[in-house]
Amino acid sequence: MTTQRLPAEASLRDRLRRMTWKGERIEWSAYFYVLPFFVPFVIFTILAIIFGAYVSFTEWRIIGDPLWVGFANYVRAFNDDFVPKVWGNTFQLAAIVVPGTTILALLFALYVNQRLRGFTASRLAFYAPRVVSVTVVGLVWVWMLDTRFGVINQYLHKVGVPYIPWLTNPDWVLWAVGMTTIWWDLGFHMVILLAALQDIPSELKDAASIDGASALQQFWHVVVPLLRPAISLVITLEIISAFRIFSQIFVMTQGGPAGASFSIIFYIYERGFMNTELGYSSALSLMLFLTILVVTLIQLRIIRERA
Amino acid sequence: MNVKLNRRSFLTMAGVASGAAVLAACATPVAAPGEEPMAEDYIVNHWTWLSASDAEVWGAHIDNFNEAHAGLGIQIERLEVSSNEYKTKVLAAAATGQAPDFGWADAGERADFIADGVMIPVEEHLAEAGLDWSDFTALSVAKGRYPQFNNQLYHMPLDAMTWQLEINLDHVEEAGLDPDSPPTNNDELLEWSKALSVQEGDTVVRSGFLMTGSGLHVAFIWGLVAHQMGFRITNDELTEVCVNPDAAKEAAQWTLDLFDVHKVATRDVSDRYKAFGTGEGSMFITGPWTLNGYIEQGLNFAVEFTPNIGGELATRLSVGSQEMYIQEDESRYARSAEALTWLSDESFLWTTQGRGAACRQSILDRDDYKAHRWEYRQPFVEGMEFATFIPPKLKAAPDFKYYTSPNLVHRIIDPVWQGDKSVDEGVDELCAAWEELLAAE
Repeated sequence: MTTQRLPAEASLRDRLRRMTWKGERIEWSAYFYVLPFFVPFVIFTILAIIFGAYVSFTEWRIIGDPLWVGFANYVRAFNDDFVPKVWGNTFQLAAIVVPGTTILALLFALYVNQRLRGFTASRLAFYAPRVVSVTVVGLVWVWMLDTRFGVINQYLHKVGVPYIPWLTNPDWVLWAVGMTTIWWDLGFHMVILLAALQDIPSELKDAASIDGASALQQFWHVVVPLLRPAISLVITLEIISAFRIFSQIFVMTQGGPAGASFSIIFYIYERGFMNTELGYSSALSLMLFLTILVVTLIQLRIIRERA
Repeated sequence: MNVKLNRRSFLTMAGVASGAAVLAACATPVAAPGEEPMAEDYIVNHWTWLSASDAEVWGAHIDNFNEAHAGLGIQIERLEVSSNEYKTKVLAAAATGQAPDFGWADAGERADFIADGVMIPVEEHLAEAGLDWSDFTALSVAKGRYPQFNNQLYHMPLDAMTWQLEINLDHVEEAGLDPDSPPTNNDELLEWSKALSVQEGDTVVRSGFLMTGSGLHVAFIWGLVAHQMGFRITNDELTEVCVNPDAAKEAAQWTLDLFDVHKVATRDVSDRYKAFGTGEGSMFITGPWTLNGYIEQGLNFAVEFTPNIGGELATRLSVGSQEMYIQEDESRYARSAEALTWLSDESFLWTTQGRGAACRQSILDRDDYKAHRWEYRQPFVEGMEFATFIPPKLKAAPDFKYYTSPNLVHRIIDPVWQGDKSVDEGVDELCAAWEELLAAE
C-alpha cells in the first residue's frame, strides 16, 4: 500500500482518500459494503473453526472449562471401530452422488440448451426440487421408497421387479439416500452447467462442423474441454456436499439399518449433540475437513492435468 | 440545477445510509413519548421437546395456566426444542446463564446434568410452593431420585408411561382369533403372531408381531424380553454391568427367531408407527402417546397388557417429568415452583387427553379419570404394577438405553439383527463397552 506525496498539512481524510493499492486508488466505501458479510464470517466461521480445532484437543461438555487432553480424541478416533464404517459409508455415498449428479446435470443441461419444444417447462421441472426443503424431500422420499406401498416399488413391481427394501436393507439404503440426494441437487448443478454451455461460442462448433466433426466429436472435443472449469466446480461442490450429507439421513434412516447409512456428519452430530462429547466430535470434524480438502485437491489436480 | 453524482459519492452515501440503517436496527427500542410503559408479567421460561399430539395437549395445559394467571403477574413462555438437541441446548444456555427455568425430562435419566450442576433438587422448592408430595405415587417419585446424589429428588413427575401391547382387531377377526383372550405368555404370543402374519411366498408382508429391522424398536423388544428373562444392564448398586448375560443372549436369539424361524416379523419395517397404522403389523408393543393418533385415524385396535414372554412379567416404565435448571438469580426458583405446582395440581387434562397415567393419587381416584378413552388407557395405567424395566441412572445413560435415538447399543447390536454378527459376539461386545463406560463414571 502506498500513499501519494502530500503536503504536510493534508488532513487524515485526504490521506485516506489518496491511498492507493498497486497503483489503484482504494475505494474505502466498498469495504464498508463487505463488512456485513465479513464480520459474521469471521465470528461464526473463522473463529468457530479455530475454536473447534482447539476443542478437538480437549474434553468438554459445554459446562465448565475445556480439559486439555492433547491428541487423546484423535487416538480414540483411530481406535473407534465405527469410524472406518462411517467414513466408508460416506465415501460410498459420494461415489454414488457425485458422478450421478454430474452426469445427469450435464445431460439435463444439454437437453435444455437445445431449446427444444417445452424446454422452459423442463428447466423449471428440473430445478423445482431444489427449492423444496431437504427435510420435506426426505419425508416424501421415505413414502415413495416404502417397500410395500411406495410408488417406486409399485411401478417397478408392475414390470416384474421384486419389491426392493430401499430403506430397510443395508445393501440398498445408500442407493436410496443417493437417489434422493441426486434428485434434490440436480437442478442447482444443471443451472451452473447450462450457464457454461451458453457461454460456448457457436463459432467453435461451426468450425468443427465445417472440418467434418460429427455431433459426438463436437461434444467431446469442443464442448467438454470448454465445460471443464464448470464441471470441475460441480464436482467440487458435490464432493463437499456429499461428505457433509446429514439431513437426508436424519430424516430418512437415522443412520440405519445396522449403521449402513451412518455418515461422518451424522456420527459427529450423534456424539456431539446427543452425547455432548464436543471434544471428540470436534476431532472428527477436523478429520472430515482434512478429508474433504485432500479429496478436493486430488480431484482438482486430476481435472487440471487433463485440461 | 444539474447535480452530478459520481460513483465515489454514490458509494459513500449508500454506505453511510446502510450503516445508519444497521445501527438503527440494532438500537434498543424506546417507548414513544407520552406512552405509559406496559406493566410486564414475570415470565417463567419453559422448554419442551414434546411433539405431535403430545405437544398440542401440553400447549393447551400451558395456555390454561396463562389464562388462569392473566393479570396475576406471572406467565409461562413455552419454547419447543428438538428432543435430539435438547440436552446440548440446555447445557449451552446454562453455560451462558440463560438456562430455562424448567423443562421436560424422563425422570431418572439426567445423572449427567446433575453432575454438571445444571439441575437443582426440586423437593424443597416445590414443597414451599405448596405441592403436596404425599399425593404422588411412590413409583413416580422413586424414579426421580438419584442414589449417587444423596438420593435427592430432581424431577417433578407428571405422567407415568408403560409399554403395552396394541392389537389390530381387524386382523384378529380375519384370523379367527378371540379378541377377549389376548396373548399373555410366550406360547400364546407366538401362536397369535403366526396366525396374524401374512406371507407371500417366503416373504413376510404383514408382521404378526411388529418390530423394526434395526434401531430403537427391535433393540427395545430384545431388552424387554432380556429383562423378563432375568438380564440386568447393571446391578442395583451400579457397580457391575451385564448381570446374567446368558439371558440377554437367549433373548437376542428369541428376537432373531421371530424374523428367521417363526417368520412372524419382517425386517422391512423402518417406521413402526406408520407400519401399525397402515396395517403392516398386527401386534405392536408401544406407549400411550400413540393412542390419540390411531384413534383419530379410525384404526380398529385394542390395548392389552404386555405378555410375560421371559418368565418374569415386566414392562418398561418412563416417568415424564419436569426438572428445574440452575439460575443466576435464585429468586426465580420460587416463581418456577409456583408454576410447576399449578401444572401438577391441574394435570388432569394432561394425564387423560395427553399421555400416560397420572402420578397424583387424587387424580387417579377421581370418578371422571376413567371417562376419557378408558378402554384404551386402562392397560397403560394399570400396567404400572409390573413396570419395572427402567434404564440405569448413570451419567452415560444415553448409551445404556435401548429405547432411544442411534447410540452405542444400536451400533453394536444392529448387526446381530442383520445376521452380520453372532448373538454371542454382539452381547459380549456390548457388555465390554458398557463396562468401559461404567468405569469412566
